[in-house]
Amino acid sequence: MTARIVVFSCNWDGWSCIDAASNAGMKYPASVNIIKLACLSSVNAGFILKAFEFGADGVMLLGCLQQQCQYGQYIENIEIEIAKSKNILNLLGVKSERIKRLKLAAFDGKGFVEQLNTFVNELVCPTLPVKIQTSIEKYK
Amino acid sequence: MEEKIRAAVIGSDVDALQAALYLAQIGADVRFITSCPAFAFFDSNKNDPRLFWSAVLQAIKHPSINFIYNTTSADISGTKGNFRIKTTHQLSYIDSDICTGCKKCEENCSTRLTRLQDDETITRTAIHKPYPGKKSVPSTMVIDKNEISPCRAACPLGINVQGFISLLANNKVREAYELINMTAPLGGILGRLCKHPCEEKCSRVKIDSPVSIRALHRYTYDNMDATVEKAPEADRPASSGKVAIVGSGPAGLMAAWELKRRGYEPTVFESHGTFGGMLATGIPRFRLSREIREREINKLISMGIKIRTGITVGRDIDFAYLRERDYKAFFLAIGASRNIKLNIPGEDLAGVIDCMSFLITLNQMGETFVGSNIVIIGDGNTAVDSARVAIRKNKGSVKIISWTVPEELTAAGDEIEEAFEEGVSIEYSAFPVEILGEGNKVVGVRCRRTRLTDEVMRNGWHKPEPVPGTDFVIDADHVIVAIGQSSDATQLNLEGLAVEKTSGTIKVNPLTLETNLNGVFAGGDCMRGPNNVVDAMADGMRAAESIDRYLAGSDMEMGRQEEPAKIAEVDVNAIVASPSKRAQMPYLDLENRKNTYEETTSGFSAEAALEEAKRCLSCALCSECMECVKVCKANAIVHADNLQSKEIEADIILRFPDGKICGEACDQKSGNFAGMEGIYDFSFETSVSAGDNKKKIMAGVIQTILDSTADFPDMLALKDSHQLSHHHQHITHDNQVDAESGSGIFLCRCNGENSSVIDFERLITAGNSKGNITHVSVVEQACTESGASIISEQIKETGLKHVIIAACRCCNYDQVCYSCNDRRILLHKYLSGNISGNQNSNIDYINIRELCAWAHNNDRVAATDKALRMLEAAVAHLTSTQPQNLARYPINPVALFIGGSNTNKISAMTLEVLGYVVFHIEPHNDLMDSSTEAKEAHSLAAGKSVYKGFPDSIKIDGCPGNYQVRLEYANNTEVLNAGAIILDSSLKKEVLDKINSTYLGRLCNRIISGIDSGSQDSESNLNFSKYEATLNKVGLFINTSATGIDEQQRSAPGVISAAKVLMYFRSHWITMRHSTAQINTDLCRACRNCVEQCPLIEIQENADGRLHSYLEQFLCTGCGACSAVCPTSAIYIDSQNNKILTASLKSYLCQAKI
Repeated sequence: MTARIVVFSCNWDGWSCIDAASNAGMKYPASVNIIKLACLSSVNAGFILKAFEFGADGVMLLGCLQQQCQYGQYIENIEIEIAKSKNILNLLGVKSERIKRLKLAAFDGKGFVEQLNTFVNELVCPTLPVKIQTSIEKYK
Repeated sequence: MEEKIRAAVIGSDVDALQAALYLAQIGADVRFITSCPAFAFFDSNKNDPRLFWSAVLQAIKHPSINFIYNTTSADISGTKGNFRIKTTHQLSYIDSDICTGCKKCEENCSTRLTRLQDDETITRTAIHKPYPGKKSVPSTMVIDKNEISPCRAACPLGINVQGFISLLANNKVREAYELINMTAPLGGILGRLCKHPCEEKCSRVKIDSPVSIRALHRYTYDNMDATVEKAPEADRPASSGKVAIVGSGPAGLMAAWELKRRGYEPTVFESHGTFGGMLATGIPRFRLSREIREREINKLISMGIKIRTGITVGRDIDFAYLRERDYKAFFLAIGASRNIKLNIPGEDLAGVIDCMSFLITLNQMGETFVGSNIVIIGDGNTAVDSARVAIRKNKGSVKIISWTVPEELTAAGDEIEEAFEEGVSIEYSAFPVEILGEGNKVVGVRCRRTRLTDEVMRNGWHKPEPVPGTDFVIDADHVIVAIGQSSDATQLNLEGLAVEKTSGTIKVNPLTLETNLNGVFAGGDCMRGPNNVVDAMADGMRAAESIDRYLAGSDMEMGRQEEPAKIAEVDVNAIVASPSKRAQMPYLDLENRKNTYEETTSGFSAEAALEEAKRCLSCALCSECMECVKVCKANAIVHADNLQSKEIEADIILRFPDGKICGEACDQKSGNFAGMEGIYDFSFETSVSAGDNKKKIMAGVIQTILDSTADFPDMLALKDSHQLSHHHQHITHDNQVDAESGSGIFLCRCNGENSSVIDFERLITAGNSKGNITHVSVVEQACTESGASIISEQIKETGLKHVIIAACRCCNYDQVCYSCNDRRILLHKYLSGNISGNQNSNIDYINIRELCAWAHNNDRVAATDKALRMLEAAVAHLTSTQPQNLARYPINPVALFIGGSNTNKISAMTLEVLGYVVFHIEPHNDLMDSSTEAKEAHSLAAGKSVYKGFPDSIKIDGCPGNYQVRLEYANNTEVLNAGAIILDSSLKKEVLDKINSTYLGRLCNRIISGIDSGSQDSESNLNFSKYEATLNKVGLFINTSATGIDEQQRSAPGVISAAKVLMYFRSHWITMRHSTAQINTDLCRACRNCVEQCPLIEIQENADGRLHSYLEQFLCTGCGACSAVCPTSAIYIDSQNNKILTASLKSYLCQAKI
């Protein structure tokens, strides 16, 4: 079984890591879906939870290192949204480890693939409590 | 049409790229000359990779920059306005315009080069990425080539020896066969009998012993399946005409093969009953079996070459008869089979036989020859062959009499070795003077000892001479005379044919092989005397070329003069190759060998051949095995590329330090051009003042470019002002798909790279199953002009309104992200060029190349599933996008300068000279700066400037690109319209005090207030430097007064500032970004969440007195933070609105299996 992952990535340093990984021929599971946004600051808890509602096993938020944002210092916003999402997941009985925040320097394809693979391996670990199952069926 | 100034930028670093971009933006035509094959980021260039890639990609995207890669500038001549740069072009053999860098060629490259580089062993293929393991732009590959390999140069036929060996080293026997067969047939014969001059030249000798090339040649032909191969057709238009070839030996057959390939109808006439000439009559069967000979020659017959045996031309038919039957040209290849006589007493005794008769008898009739004590006179290959035949039929002794020393025998060494093993002995330095007989029977040969003289014979050996008084007798009951053969052209009965008197060989022009008779050519042994099979074949090839020229009526000699080939030198110290033994040809064991006429050698096993082929050192680097050409679907590989140098013209030249991309030193000749007018040298050492110096030089460059455009000021100004008649436009992209409009999907195969991983059939099925998709099609390569035109034609035909392109691009915006690449830029460029108007925005791209085909090429099913999900999401977006409103405003090319520092003065003057209307307002009546150059500038430009007094109050209104500036004085009010406002920073306070905020007021205030601090020092002030570029885009410029040690340095900022304003004017329109946030004021509750996120958002009051958020959209950079915190979704970014993101998530996670 492979975990279904959604990676929200910013268009700049985050995307450059994903592109660098492809360029270097690095492999990661094909069940990883990447959604590219201008900046991670445009992601709110709603989108993160929506991914879980649709049956994601995990959500990764990939963005730049501190102070490297293409747009300025707005990036704190996402940390608040992640905290919110984790709280809600906890309420629903889903472990907050299913959300992973990743900050990488530009063009760090190796870092991306390594961290992603670690994340995927953790998610398929049977001890991690179940994900949200209830709502998936209605979309299938 | 105004003529653009041509600027050449020589360099390869970020500075050079940025300068090129700058020049292109202010209107120069830039030629960027770099010694690198492509750009790649190396840590050694100490820049931010993001900055680096932005510079590279933006430069590549700019239509006025022409990149000339792989090129070093050797010399510069001429003067400013007319420079000529001589360049040396390093060939990469790849068309970088179409190569997508798919690496299929690399996977199929048969050459593995293991070299020592900086004490590191590096193994790589001959075709490779310019910087292995690194992203490079353009995405092209390069091929490492050297001069021609010594083996190939040594081959009289020019067989690509290294090529077929490299294929064998990859176990590609069929491909090796086909490669050899491109040049010459009869490989089974050559692989046995060739004198292999290639092996003599093999570089492997420098390590141990040469590669066993001939044996590998044989292996290739013996291990092809028995099906008869058609020879490849020559790469030229077919011709026609009948050609008669006399003699079916190697020369005749080769000529026939080559002529047939070129479309002629050759017929070979053979006097014997079997074809093959000397191959059939003179070569013993244990060296070349009948089966092999027939196998090889039958391939030629199956090509349609006619061989008529048993017909002696000159006796049975004559040339007149052939001419009557439409034979247009003749090739004489009758060989040399007339035995040369000893001319000594006793030669007519019974038991004395000439070797040719002896060999024919045995080869053709298999008759036995009896004798117990055989002596062979002669030491050539025929003599050794005769001896080896004799020993198979004879239980007594077989002795060869040679007149010279062991080191100077004519026969091939390995043959002599075999003969020795079989029991043949050789009497050296013996010269036969008489064959002794008793009655009619031979009893012995009387010989005389010889010694070597200094005289060197034609074959390079010393001529021996008999020493009187050293006679001795060798017992013999049979004598075979094998001292050579000569040609007998008289049998041809060809009147007037010129023949050498002494040797009897036919006289020819050595270049063309033409005889003295028109249309008659000759080659092989009848022209050169007894020789090797490979030289005879080379003659056949040369004759075919001549006959082709003769029949086509073209010049017989042009381009055929032989220049000595440049041979690839190999530095064995740089090669990593451990000594390995040359593979030994397996022989039958001696007992079996002696009793059989079957072949004595059995050829290499597959393992031995593989090991032996791997011993090749790949002297020429790329072996030209053509495997890459076979797999390159884009046809981007040009092995024959030979463009070596060209001249590049330029008006001005900018030189940057070169060779910094990969850290390796480059061969850029750095002559001293300092001080030469028109050459701007940036390649000085880094020092404290380097930054200022660069600025100074750059200002000089800009001034030059601006000066050159000053010849056309009116036209420019006129053109610019025309656009004022248009009011600002709202470009409405109707992205929503109505019921009737069709949507289409185009899938890019990327020349097989995508389609080999992703199952396109499933994508097509999925596409067709969607209700709103009316068209699905596959293109081979979308990122070329032809690919784009195919797509646009289909869009036109089918009337598609919305198109999804599954290729390598990620977005349809005009911005350049630093992770982009040249293929994606080209894809968009060609497509948007082909699809006119606003349809552009109706293209959606999904990247199935990097995200699916590259990242998941180990799992085809999973990669296809992922591509399907992405396609699904893209289709879902069709119904999720909102109509987008993007406004654009025309730019009014009028500049308003507020304040008169020297920078502003020079900037204003520069613009005035170019014909732009310039207004000045000043707080003081005098010039603030009284430096000489500023005064001069002032007086120069005074006539064209409009000066206004400093008002009590300034109100800036209007719209971006055309500001309405109300100057309120005590008595009156004046209104100016200007597209650009240039403010002197020292006047910040005065101006800010007076600016009445109607339009942009508060925001501008806050940005301008941040000029000094450099950072956001209070909540109300913004970091100016962060917003400067954005301000410039809407026509607001801030200048600071310049200081510097000399006039040039002080004026530089002014010139640069003028260039910035000019760039702005020349963009003609202010256009919003695609990712600009939109606000639906009906939904906004003015909760201030967005205001906290973004300093560009303010709360305003609308006409009804309701509060709502307001964003200056032209300044918005599109991060989307505002949309994330908006509780009512009143503020959103169109390209990533809630609907789109939800649709993506749903497609990715809930998709039912297709």
